Amino acid sequence: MTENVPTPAPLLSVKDLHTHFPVGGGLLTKLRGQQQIVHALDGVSVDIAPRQTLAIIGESGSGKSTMGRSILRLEEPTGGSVSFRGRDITSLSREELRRERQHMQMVFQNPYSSVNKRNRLVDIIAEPLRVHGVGDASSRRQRSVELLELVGLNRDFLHRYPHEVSGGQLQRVGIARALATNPEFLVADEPTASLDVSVRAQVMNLLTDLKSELGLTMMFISHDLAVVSYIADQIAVMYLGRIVEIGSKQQLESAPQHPYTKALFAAAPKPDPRLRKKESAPLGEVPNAITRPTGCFYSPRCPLAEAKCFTDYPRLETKAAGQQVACHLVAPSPLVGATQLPITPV
Amino acid sequence: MTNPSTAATAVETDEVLRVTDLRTTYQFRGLPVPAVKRFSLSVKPGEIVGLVGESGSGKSTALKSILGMLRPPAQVEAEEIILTGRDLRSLSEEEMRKVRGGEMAMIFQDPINSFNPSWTIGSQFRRVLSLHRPDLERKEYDEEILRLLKGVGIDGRGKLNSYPFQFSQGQLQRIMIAVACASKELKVLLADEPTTSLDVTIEAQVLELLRTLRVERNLSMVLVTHDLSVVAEMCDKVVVMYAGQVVEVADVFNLFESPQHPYTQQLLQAIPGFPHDGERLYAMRGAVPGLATEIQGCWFADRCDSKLGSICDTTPPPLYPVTATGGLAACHRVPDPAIAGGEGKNS
Ligand SMILES: Nc1ncnc2c1ncn2[C@@H]1O[C@H](COP(=O)(O)OP(=O)(O)OP(=O)(O)O)[C@@H](O)[C@H]1O
Ligand SMILES: Nc1ncnc2c1ncn2[C@@H]1O[C@H](COP(=O)(O)OP(=O)(O)OP(=O)(O)O)[C@@H](O)[C@H]1O
Ligand SMILES: [Mg+2]
Ligand SMILES: [Mg+2]
Repeated sequence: MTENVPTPAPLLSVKDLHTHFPVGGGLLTKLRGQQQIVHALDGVSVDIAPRQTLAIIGESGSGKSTMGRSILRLEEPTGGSVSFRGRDITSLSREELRRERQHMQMVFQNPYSSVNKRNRLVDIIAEPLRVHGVGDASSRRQRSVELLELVGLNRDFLHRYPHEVSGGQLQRVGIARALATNPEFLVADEPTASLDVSVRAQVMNLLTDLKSELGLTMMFISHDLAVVSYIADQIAVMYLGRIVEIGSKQQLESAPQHPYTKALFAAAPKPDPRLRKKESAPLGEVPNAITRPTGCFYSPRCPLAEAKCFTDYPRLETKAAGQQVACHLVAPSPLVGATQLPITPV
Repeated sequence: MTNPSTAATAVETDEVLRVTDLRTTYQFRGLPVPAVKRFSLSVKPGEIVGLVGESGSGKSTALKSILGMLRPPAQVEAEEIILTGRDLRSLSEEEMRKVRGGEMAMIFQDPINSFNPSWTIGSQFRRVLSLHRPDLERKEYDEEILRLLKGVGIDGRGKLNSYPFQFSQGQLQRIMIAVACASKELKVLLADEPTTSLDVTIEAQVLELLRTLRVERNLSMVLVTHDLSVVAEMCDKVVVMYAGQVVEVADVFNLFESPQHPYTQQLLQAIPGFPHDGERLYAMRGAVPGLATEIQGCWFADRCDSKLGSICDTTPPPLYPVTATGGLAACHRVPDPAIAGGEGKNS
């Protein structure tokens, strides 16, 4: 591997990852071969350098959670590869994978469905420690208390069951659990969605501290653009199973190129009632991961779509140094300034 | 919208929903956990009331209590819970079942748990229609379901036979909104974090849908959200909770312009700017005291940046009327207008 080049080898490297799900119908449709396929994740490649945070934003249902889960093989990818610290995760045996997971953890989007409802919070938080044989019962308990405090909860919560705490409290338990083994890499799937702004700020400050002090590398999935703006180094934008734009945080915020990225940034609501939108423009045709549009998946919603947008899917191409965009209408690097698309609301 | 709504003064006549002095207590290891201690709410027809507050402050509990969804050992007491003139506490379980999803529906915070995991989305949706849509014939159900799903930005074709786990979180959230809006009798929608899992373009669409429902059907809403942009975008009036109590009630413009309670002030201060310059985020110091803690004075005193003095530790502040804005705030600073408002930061 290229050890002495200035850019460090990525900690995580995802190549052409696919995860497809069969859906619908009983045995009969299967026998008739009418089984439908959801292309939840459809050929995604990304690298994350050590200590960097890649934020994933994008459409609801575009495959963000599926990507996070597939990277950790909590969902078996149907194609492509993932390498972590230079090792191909996709070919590890169950036992090897289990050992590797100590270093790669996930905060799940839905805290309720990711915990065993019959376990108390102390057992939930200490579970990764127990699985990986870290410490004894009393040191694990001590660590659970520390972790709870890190996320702003006191020890009163140790013996509660998941249904005995609020949504935001359980979400913080999920964060505490994921941090228990001091992982090198964290997939955080909407980790702050159910937290009030002050607790959210506390959690975000905690994550940035871990990043600077322990060198934590993250894939940070969120719909909250302000939070993404705070934590991200790189941002990838997903639409219907694919990345449509990826670049540095500065590039995407100051010069977004893909019409969907522009729509996203333009639609972000502002915390000021005087700036209320009178009305948002119609969404256009909504996509469906089973019957995907031909051509560019965004074309049915895109205000700028031209003939070829409806027939050919645009490849993800480098349009400026480090910024890749999948759009027929965005010219490559030298012309980027000249073909700036207007920011169009949704 | 120009909505002259001000504070919930509990004696307004033109109300669809009025809740007075709700108290809900859970049990933990035989000890009471007072999750909601002081909660009143008044909602007018077509009004959108925001309910915000610290994580764990009792917002979901309050909504579930109103809908009569909590079972012993949880205890719910209230002076009144009146929906369109009827006190819900006098209804039988059978009658309450008709109210839920009929006149008043709730969108839950955890979408996946609100569906039965072993039933397809289509069959769950059809069941709701069979309960609340006597105007439809069985064979019209699927068409209506697809129409309702389209309203929330979901192309449901080919997906009605899928199970809940086969949808993304944001898709489930929207399906739940579609289910909640199925009834034609719907007067009040209780929405607990209805847009947290949605990207901002679809969120804008769902908010637009809720606004349309408000205009077309004069639907009232109680909107629980941590997203203060959504509050700013949608609400007429805002109720702020801290540690099981309402600490402030204000018209939305007043809330953002001149928040009265120090908790509200500090909460607004914690909103991150966008785009963000990477500066460390402001977070309130400390954490909410455990609910079972004995506290003599104000529950926010330990974290307050504008503490008055010993009175804050010894005397619980009642909800004072704020003369300048017509709102209410539970802070000892309020009765003296000279020191109320955002400027008093000397502690
Ligand atoms: N187990 C499954 N079986 C079938 N389809 C699935 C399954 N899991 C996810 N999907 C589908 O795959 C697509 C991507 O889902 P995913 O949860 O990854 O989206 P997401 O980007 O995380 O969305 P959100 O922002 O709403 O959380 C969706 O269309 C979803 O319906
Ligand atoms: N079954 C229960 N037994 C004991 N305590 C409970 C139970 N359910 C909730 N609680 C506690 O009651 C308080 C209020 O919970 P609730 O879910 O109403 O909060 P919330 O305001 O909705 O918070 P969030 O914003 O995090 O969703 C919390 O502190 C929680 O820990
Ligand atoms: Mg997701
Ligand atoms: Mg809640």
